[in-house]
Amino acid sequence: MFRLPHSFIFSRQDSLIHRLDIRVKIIIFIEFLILSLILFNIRDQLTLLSFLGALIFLSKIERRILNSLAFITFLMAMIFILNLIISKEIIISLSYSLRFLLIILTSSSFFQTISPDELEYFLRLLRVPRYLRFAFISALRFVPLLMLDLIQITDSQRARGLELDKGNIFKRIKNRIPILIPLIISTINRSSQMAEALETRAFNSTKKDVLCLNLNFEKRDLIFLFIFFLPSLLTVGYYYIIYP
Amino acid sequence: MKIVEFSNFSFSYDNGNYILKDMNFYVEEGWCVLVAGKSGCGKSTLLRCINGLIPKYYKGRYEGEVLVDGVRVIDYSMSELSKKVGTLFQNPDHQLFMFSVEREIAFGLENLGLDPSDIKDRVEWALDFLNLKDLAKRAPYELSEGQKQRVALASILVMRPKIILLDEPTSLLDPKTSLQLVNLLRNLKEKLKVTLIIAEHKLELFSPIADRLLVVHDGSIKAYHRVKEVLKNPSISSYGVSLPPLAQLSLFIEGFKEPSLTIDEMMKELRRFFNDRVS
Ligand SMILES: Nc1ncnc2c1ncn2[C@@H]1O[C@H](COP(=O)(O)OP(=O)(O)O)[C@@H](O)[C@H]1O
Ligand SMILES: [Mg+2]
Repeated sequence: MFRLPHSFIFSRQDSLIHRLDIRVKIIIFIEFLILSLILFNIRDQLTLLSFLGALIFLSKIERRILNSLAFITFLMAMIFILNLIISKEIIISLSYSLRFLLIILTSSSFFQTISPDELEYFLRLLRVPRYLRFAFISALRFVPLLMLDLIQITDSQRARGLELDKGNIFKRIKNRIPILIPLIISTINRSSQMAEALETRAFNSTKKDVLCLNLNFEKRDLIFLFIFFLPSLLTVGYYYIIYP
Repeated sequence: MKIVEFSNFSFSYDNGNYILKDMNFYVEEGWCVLVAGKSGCGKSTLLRCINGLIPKYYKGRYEGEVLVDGVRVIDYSMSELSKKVGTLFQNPDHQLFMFSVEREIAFGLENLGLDPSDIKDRVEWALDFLNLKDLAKRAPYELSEGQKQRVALASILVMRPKIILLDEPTSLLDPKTSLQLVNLLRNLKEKLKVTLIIAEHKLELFSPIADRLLVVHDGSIKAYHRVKEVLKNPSISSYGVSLPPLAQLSLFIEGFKEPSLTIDEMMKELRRFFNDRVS
């Protein structure tokens, strides 16, 4: 039920949004993030939410979002109740919980639709050097492996009779040492083997920074950029032109 | 032409005991050499001396010399060597770094700083050669062990090495995938004429494609010859090398000239054997 972490991991899909140019995606997400932070009016927030909903459906990630919805709703309810107690204003409390929802949904669709490859491409646009980009990308790559190691080691130590959930808090922490030590050793082993593999593949051997990824800006990208800029235009238009 | 040559070579990590002792042997271009021996006998260390990890990455006492393609390993830079020698490590998980198969294959070429259009052509070729076209966009870590290994091989082949080193390549594979690997390596050998050096103790699998068998025990060479010649000598089993069952069987039958390595060879020998008896 509580599958929140899943909705912050890249989900490989073939969707309109996934295929968008990385720059367009980043602009849209920054825009949505800023709007979620500044909008404080239920009508505006609901407008943004409907755009966000369209974005989520176009990216075909609604399932993962729905999976974590129970947890998000629970948090929203908490925020609502707390605010209600403090401010005694239903509308304001509702706005606060909507703001939370918008932030969560925006960042979740950001992480689910931007692939590490695109992220690397973007980092290169920002002139981040290759070895630093690699460090970043491989961290993303090896966290799941580390988790697998952890599960394996925990299982095998349990099978040998290690009892994790016995005794008071200090005892429990002490019980975890037999997991920590093999985990550290396996991580050291892993990184030394990775280093060997990198050496044999000429890593960091030239100053040239080649990245063989062609991400082209197309007409489609421009259209999406325009459509998803509407919420900003609406907001600006409403507050500065209709209601100056 | 000698592509790899060890002469009077000894090595020890961090000035400890010698792990490799006074090695003298060479490998002709295009050969497939099996390196067999107990675990801990120094197989991986031997491979590291060829791909340059020793002495570039692992320092220690380094005596004598190792030549690759006529040049001393110590005179190469790692990037020059990476164009001559590719290494398939034991666990593909530790040598796949990228999030898609095609990026993984391009990675080494990017490291060399090649032209993007050149890289693209070569990646296409490697995907085609190893039948990975359908997996090009997939993430390497989602693949099966056999597929991961094919990706790792593609990322090595794309550098166009003359020599490929494989460290216990079947240790994570099931029997069927292991057999596919053998066929793939046979293909590499025949079509691309690459030299293969394989550390492996499952002799029955690789001996049909091997030109030479190198038996290492405790850092010294105990035998180095054609596979069948080495297998004729039963004493090699004391070095932790298990004789392939077929070869073992054929050694029992009087009148067999040489140990059989494949079912076909065995059948031929058996037929001849029975024909001789009848006549
Ligand atoms: N990095 C290292 N530092 C020190 N000793 C090592 C290192 N790697 C391997 N050894 C030692 O070298 C010997 C041979 O190891 P290795 O070449 O890995 O054997 P094999 O691959 O045949 O199992 C072993 O005794 C091992 O302990
Ligand atoms: Mg080894």
